[in-house]
Order: sequence, then C-alpha cells, then structure tokens
Amino acid sequence: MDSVTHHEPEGVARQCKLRLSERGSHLPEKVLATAGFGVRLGKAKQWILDKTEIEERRIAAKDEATSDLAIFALLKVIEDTRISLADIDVIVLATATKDQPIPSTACRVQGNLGAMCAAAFDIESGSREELPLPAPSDPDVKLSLHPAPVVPVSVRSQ
Amino acid sequence: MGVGIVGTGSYLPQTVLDNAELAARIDVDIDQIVEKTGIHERRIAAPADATSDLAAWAGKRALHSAGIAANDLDVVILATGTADQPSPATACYVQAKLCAAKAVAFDVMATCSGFIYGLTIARDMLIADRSRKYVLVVGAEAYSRFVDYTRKGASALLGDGAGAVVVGRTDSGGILASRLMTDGTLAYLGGILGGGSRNPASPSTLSSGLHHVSMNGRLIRDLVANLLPGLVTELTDQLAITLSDVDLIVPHQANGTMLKEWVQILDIDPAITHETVSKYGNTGAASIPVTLDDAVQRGRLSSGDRLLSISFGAGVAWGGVIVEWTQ
Repeated sequence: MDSVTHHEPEGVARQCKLRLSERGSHLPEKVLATAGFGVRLGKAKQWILDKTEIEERRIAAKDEATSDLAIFALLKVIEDTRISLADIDVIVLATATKDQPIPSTACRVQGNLGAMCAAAFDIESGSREELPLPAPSDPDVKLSLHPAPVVPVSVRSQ
Repeated sequence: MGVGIVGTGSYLPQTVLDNAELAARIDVDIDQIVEKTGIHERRIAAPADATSDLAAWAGKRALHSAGIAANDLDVVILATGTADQPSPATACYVQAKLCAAKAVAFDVMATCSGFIYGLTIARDMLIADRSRKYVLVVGAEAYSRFVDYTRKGASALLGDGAGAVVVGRTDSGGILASRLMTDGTLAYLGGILGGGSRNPASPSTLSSGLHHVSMNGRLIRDLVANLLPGLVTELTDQLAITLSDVDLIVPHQANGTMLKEWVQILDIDPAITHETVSKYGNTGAASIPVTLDDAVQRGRLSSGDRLLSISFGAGVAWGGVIVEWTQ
C-alpha cells in the first residue's frame, strides 16, 4: 500500500473500519428432497448425490417472489438488532432471479419493508448469485459508511 | 486529487424509426407524437445485436477518448434494464467483448437511473481501493426488444443506444456531489411484469403481453415534477452553490415535453440543458451518457465547468451528480 497520506474528495472521505454488523437469512418452508427429485428425473437418489452432494433444496411458495424472501431475511436482521428501518441508507440486492425484468427487485424490498431513506438497486455478476462477501471477522471490510444490507437471494424454482 | 470522468463514448444503432413509420404501424397522428413527447425519431438495434454489443461499442469509444486500453480497466459496470439474458450479467459479455481481462464486471439495475447509480458506485470503488485506477461505466438499452409496436405509449418514447464513461483519478474537480433515492412503494408505475420470479415466463404471460414495457405516463410525469426541485436542491446544497453556478445540465432524456416542463419548474435558461431526446428518444439508462457524449462532441464542456446530471426511473429510483469537468 502507498504510505503517502491521501486526501479524499470532501464529503465522501472518511477512512474508517467497516464491518458486516448483522446477518440474517430466510429459507422457504417447502423442502424438495433428492429422493423425490430423483423420481421426477428418472434417476436414482444416489446418482444425484454422487453428482451434486445435495441432499435437499428449498422451493419458494407459488405466491412468493424473490423480494418476499429478501424481506423475510431483512426482517430477521432488523428484529434482532438496534437498527431501525430509517437508519438504512442503501439496499443492495444481489440476484439472478428478479421479481420482474423492470423495475429493480430492490425497489420492491425497499418499498414493502418501508426503508424509505434507503437508495435501492440490484446487482448481478457472473454465474454466482452471491457477492463475494469477505469474512465477517475481516476488520477491513469496506462496504459502506452506514448500515447497508447486502441481500444475496435467489428463486431458481420459478 | 479527485475522481472524475476522463473519457466519454456512445453508440447509436444505424436504423432509424421515425414518426412517419411509427404512424404507419399504429393509428396515431404524427403531430400528436411530437406534441406529447418531443420525439421525431429513435434508433433500433440491428436484429443480431443485443444490449452487450451496443455497450461494447460505446465502451470502446470511451476507452479511446480516455486514451487507455481495455486492459487498464479494473471494473466494468453496466447499467441496463434490458439485459442480454436474465443470467449471467450482461457486463460479463461486455468485459469479454472489450477483452478487459483484468476487470471485474457486474450489472447495476436501477432502471433509467442506473447510470447515475453506477457512476456513484464507480467513484466509491475508486475511493475505497487506491490500487484501482479506471472504471468503465456503461448505460445501454435495447428497448425495441421489449416494446409492443402495435400500441401507443412506450413505442413512441423508447429507443435503443449505449453511452459510456471512463471514471479515473483527476488532479482536481471530478464527481463532487451525488444523491441516490428510491421509493419502492411506487414500483407499480411502470416496468415489465412478466418473465421474473413473480410471473415466470409461460404461454399465458406471453399471450397477455407481460413481456412488454407498460407505464402510467401521466402519474410518472406528475411525480417527477414533484421530486425534481428537491433533488436539485439536495445536490447544490452539498456544495453550497445554487443552480446559477451550474454550467451545463444533462438530464435523463425521459420525454422532450417533460424536459421543457423541467426547465420551467427549475426556472432556468433552456440553453444550459443539453438534449438528444428529439433524435434518439428515451434510451433508459443509456440516455445520460449518450447525451453527455453528444455535449462533449459539440464542445459544450470546458475544464472547470460544473455539470449537473439528474435522472428519474421506474422503481421509483432517482438521483443525480454534480461533476466539475476536467480535461
């Protein structure tokens, strides 16, 4: 790293340590076990297990879209912490299975959650649906100067 | 030292869809189109081209303008509402087409405001990590793939195109202010309803036309008129300046009639805004970088000029930046 002191543009600049302060997750109730799955595919359970090592996966209810799963996950974060919805400045939603092509699914999350001070947008990278999040213990995690939920969420069953 | 725009580029497809041709397809009066939208023609991507193709051409021109190679890019950010395909990100195709081998690439989705959101993310990524030098931010849309050309409304408004900027470090000036805002309780005002996890693609979503853009133009226009003054004040207040200190305004080219209304609401000289909507229509996330590149080509920006750029898009997501221009 350059050891020369650098003056960042005014108003944006504060060198401070950031951390992933809270986490939460939500999985739909319905389980699709590999045994049941194998029957549909005409494959033995063991054949699928050998290929994937996946025992079971969850399936969103018919009336649940990606934003609903994201909201459940965020509500768990909010319930367990002192963060209020009004404290959230940014909502970043990582997904490859949006509610609809336009507008962003993050808008639905923001509006339905009532986090009215937050700017919300979707982000999508390569074939991985989740952002490469650093380990929560990493003291140098740079995400945002304010609480900003990062929500990796996916509804592949649709 | 700052972080600013060090190169611009744009690409508009060659095929022109003018009002006469549109009027031949749908029962609409040409004068009425001009009166309601201020749009005379729009561009349509060639059948073989998708959003990433338009984006890559615009990106290549921005790289040329910045005087850097694709290999110098650390990040490629693509703002679009009309991705090549739902997954993976269209930015991955742009990165591959540009041969930007060292760049991490991702899409940002905030509809028509996606470019302003992407530009802000680019600035923050350069500030957060001193080892990064250049970010390519592209706004690109192929709306013609999602428009029902048998109906009024979106067919007259939307067009295809791409614009790009290279964001890098500057000795002074650069991106001085940014404000991003969202109100998702208004997400119903416009968009594409079908083909996602809410209404998965099916014969029924196709027959109902849910794969086409729909919008409530009247409500959007009234909403934007309400939000506009507050957004501009929030931006100028960050720098303790007023609108009279701004040299050029490059707004999202939502609709030509709306742009005239914005000039009245803000009580500014129409000459300080730059428009391309009459010849390109509303090109979504591409409209600001396309219009900015047009302004640069016409010599409308000099070093030290203050540029204000603002956008409003479905979601509802809106935002703006003030940039002190550097050459």
